Amino acid sequence: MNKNYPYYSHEKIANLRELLENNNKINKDDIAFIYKDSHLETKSKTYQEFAEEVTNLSNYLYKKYNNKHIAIIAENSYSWIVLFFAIILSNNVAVIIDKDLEPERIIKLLSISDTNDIFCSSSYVDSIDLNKYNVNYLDDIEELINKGKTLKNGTKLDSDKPAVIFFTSGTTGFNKAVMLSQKNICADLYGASSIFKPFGTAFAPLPFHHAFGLITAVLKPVYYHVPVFLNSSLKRVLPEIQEAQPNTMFVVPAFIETFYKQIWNTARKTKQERKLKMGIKLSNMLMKCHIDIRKKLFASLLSQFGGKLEYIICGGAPLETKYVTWFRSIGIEILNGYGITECSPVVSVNRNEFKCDGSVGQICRDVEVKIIDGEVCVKGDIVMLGYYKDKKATDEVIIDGWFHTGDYGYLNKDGFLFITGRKKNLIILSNGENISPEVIEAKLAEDDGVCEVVVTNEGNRLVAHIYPNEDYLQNQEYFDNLITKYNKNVPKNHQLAYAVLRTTEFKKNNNRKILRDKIMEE
Amino acid sequence: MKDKVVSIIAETTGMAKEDIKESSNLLTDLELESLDIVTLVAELEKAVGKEIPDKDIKEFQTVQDIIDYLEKNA
Repeated sequence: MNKNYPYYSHEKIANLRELLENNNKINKDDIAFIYKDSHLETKSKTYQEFAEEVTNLSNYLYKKYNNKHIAIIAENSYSWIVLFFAIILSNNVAVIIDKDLEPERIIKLLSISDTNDIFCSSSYVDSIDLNKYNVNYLDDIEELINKGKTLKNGTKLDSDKPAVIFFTSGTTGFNKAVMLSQKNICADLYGASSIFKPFGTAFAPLPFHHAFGLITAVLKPVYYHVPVFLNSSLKRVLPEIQEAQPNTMFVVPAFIETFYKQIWNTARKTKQERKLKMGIKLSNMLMKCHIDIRKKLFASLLSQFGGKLEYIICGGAPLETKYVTWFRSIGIEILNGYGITECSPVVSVNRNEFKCDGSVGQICRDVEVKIIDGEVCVKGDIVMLGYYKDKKATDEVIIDGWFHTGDYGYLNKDGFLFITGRKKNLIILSNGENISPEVIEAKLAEDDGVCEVVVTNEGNRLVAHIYPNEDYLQNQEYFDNLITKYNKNVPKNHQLAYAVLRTTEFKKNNNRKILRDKIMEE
Repeated sequence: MKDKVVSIIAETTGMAKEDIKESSNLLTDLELESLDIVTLVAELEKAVGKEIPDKDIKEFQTVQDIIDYLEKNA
């Protein structure tokens, strides 16, 4: 059924101004953004309205600032997007900061990025002492847009200079300031959009301080010329999906796991669990005979997602394949991708009609991927300019033009990329054997009894720390048998010594990634 | 307020009411993910008829924190 097929065709752009102009050329009256105002009323903006507001605000910013670093510290909103475009189109640099970080961390990020000018949301920064900064409020942005109407913007855009600084959110707690140019961003828009295409409204619920939440979930729909619905709050994800009726949604795995849990929860509450299980069995059987009745069979379930949802683009963290197959059974295709902030961010994604379960997809157009000593390395215009004022760290990751992602992986014969683990998690045993713990963890996670698992090196022996699923809590015998079964099928060096059972889940960072460094401290 | 909060948690998560204590930590004892907590807050909003700003959600560590918050703000 899957087949390789030509790239989707898109016009190449050099900067964000061309992005606005191209959309106006296609049809300036089409809807670009749908969002909720402060009273939770639904509003929309056409491409022309959006372009005008960006232009006016950039006129104002051009007069006030020149080549400055301007931070945005605020919750997702339409104004946020207007401000982001206007900062870049007025020859300034947008410094993107997570509003939920603790105040000391925010101050630190402002300091390492040499930022003195801030646009923030009044509700989020009332606890931070910003006296020494020049603070503007996003709530006042309309006034600034109006002021810009009579001004002129004399910026000569340089697509190669830094346009935006994102901070990486590592599991070690150390943030690096990633500089991306407009050329980087435009290369990402072109490269990823050539292999995936939405066919209707897009839904964007991820925070804009992540490159995936902003460049992929918002800028790409603008590039595709499809409307994007900006989710007003995670509290309202499902009602707003129902309202938006999206064709495509951009999420991280936590969303999919939550949707899955909620679906089964509702099925249990309404005593439809058996019916749902039977329906899935039936659907899978018919699909094998190329009979697709999923839209009819799961109509009420699909209506909870607006009724038109065809694709969920998932990235940001690994997603278990079981979710991909389950959602496919009910008629929603999860297309897994792989990206990293330093690559603007998308490196690969499964295609609408050419996909491979367990992989993170095909390499984006005009992007080169090479596996060097097992590590995924990337070359192309999507690779960042570098880390801000950190040449040493930049030189450690960009070697001979290749960006070293720190992720281990391989490409199969059809060009699908598979990620097998993080380089920094690599276990090196005293016999020189290199073990990627994620490979073992993925295998163990397939077992019904395992909820979460982390493999560590303890005295040159591999130990599986397991947080069991509810029905298997404290069942040491079960997991001893699991380890024995696993050991029978792997080489001696990969065998596990024993399993340590936990009664609580692993500590995680804000993005729900397990803090591996903390495991031995607990 | 306690009964109301416990009922909503039970209803939203599918857990038994007797397993939900005031001292239960949402993440470690009730094993709620961050998105589960957000969903729970949406249900609490409906029940008390008042908006709970997103920035206040991170204050909720235990069931008691939710009860205290709602008694103070609802």
